[in-house]
Amino acid sequence: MITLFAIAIGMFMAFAIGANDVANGMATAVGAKAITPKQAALLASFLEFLGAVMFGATVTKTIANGIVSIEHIQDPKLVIYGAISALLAAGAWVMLATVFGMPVSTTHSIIGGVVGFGLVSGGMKVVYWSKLFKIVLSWFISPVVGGFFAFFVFKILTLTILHRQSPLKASKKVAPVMIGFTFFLISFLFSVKTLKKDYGTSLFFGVVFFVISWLLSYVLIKRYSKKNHNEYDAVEGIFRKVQVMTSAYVCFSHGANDVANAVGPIALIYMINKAHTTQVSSIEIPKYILFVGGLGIALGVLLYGYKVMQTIGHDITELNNTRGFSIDFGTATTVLLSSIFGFPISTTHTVVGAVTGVGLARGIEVVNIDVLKDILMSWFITVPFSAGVSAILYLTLSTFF
Amino acid sequence: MANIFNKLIPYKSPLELLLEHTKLCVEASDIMKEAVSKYFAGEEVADFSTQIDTLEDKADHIKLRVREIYSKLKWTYFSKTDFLDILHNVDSIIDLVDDVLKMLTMNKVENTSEDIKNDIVILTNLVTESVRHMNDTTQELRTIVESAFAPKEISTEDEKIDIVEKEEHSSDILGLSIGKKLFAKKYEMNPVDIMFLNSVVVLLMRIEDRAKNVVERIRMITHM
Repeated sequence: MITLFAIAIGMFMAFAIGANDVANGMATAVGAKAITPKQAALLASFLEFLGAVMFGATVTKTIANGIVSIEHIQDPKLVIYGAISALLAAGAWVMLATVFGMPVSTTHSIIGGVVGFGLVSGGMKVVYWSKLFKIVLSWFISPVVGGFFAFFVFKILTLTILHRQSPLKASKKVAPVMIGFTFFLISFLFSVKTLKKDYGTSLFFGVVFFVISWLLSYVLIKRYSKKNHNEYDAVEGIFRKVQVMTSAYVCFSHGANDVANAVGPIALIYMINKAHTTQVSSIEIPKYILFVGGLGIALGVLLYGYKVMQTIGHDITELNNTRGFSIDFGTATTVLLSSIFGFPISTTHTVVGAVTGVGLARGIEVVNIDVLKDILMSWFITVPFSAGVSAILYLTLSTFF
Repeated sequence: MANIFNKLIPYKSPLELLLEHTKLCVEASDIMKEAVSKYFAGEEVADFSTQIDTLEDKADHIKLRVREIYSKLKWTYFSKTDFLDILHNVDSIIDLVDDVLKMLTMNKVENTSEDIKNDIVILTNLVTESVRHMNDTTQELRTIVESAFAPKEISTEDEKIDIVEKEEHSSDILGLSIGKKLFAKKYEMNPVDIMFLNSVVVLLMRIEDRAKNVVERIRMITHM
């Protein structure tokens, strides 16, 4: 019964992630009118699901038993209460922040929740401080890395396309290479991390996907690109279509990283039920848990997320497609790499880093300083708040039940 | 958190706002051109002045929006000081056009030679043309930004800047010549009319000067 309750909360959390966060993944494509909000919602829900199932296990394991040692708790029931407390606390904080329009991270909230129950159940010694330190460090590093990738990609586009004598001709050659590289990266990482293949085989898979996607996109771009009296507009026209792919890449990576925020605690409950003890470190996360999380996110996007996307479609007037491409690529690559290494990071904050990176490359006029202040504030408030609420909930549940 | 882009990126680009502002300058200077011709044809120009007032209000509104957006931005295409200086100069063009029109409503000159009238009309046309070219130069900034400051686009911009600079030189020569002609008539014309027309010429030359300031700043920001 209690497991079902936990799954229900996890599903709700996944739904909330899908409803609110995913819009940022498709924002640049929808804003550029490369895709309608409904098409974006369909595509995003599928890719979020795919990302969650293909790459979600490592981060889920980190949240489930990589932050707090549950082995000190003898009674498995108490761990289940802890998992529920963490989920409820994180969910409450995210809801509250949404009401006040604050840019808080679901990732930070769930980690705060897990730390909160850990501290009251076993004291300071049960928290894996070094691991937690690395995670917190990743929150600072990920926007910087996202910014670096976006800066770098935009500079490549500048030198190889925008500064060429004929930007249109150049973009027909460069854009397929960029698409090919994206598929190379995803297939290589999937082969290494999820299929556990050796580097040689993975590299082979990567190259195969590179060649196929490069050839396909080369033909499609050549066929559908339109001439325009302004070559830069024609380039943007090509990247408008390519951006659908990079936005999809963001959703895929987001699903891989954020599914853990919803199903991490559920995975913990599953592990305990499976082992009938709190010694769970060797248990693998089954795919169906990621499937449940992915489904929750997908439903959130389909039933509510597209409404958020509709508002985006009218609002981003300034972000053109080469810039959007660089931001998406920087964000998605950072988030996907973090998922591979098991770091739960905030996609939203990585987006901020990527937008800033393009701004530094003189590609776009940003950043509203107030947002940076909000983000800094959220870093310092989110974790203590959700930790505090989680601790109170845990104490209440363990006392009364 | 939903829609971070709306919070990060200004809804309206300051550059687009500047471009709207320069278009208003062209509109205003076209009105001025017509008004000056009609003034010397002895027609009433008060209506033109009212039209300029409306444009000036719009321009002020744009200026305030740019300043408001700019104060919140962390990274911009151009140096904030230079960009705001361009805005200041563009804004003063429309203010000066307004001054010209207001002056024309204050006094009707008498006994003015056709030669001087023609020269002032020619000067007005030159100034209007310069404002138009200043606008072209400013609009080109959009392409420069789209091209991520491509050297070939910067060269195109430099050529446009040269045109405005040359025009300013010709207007200066014509303005001085009109001044000399006016003061040479000190025994034939009403001294008040001489001073009045001289003030109009000075205002026209100031407009030209501001247009040159704008393009000079543009040269600076595109070569950073």
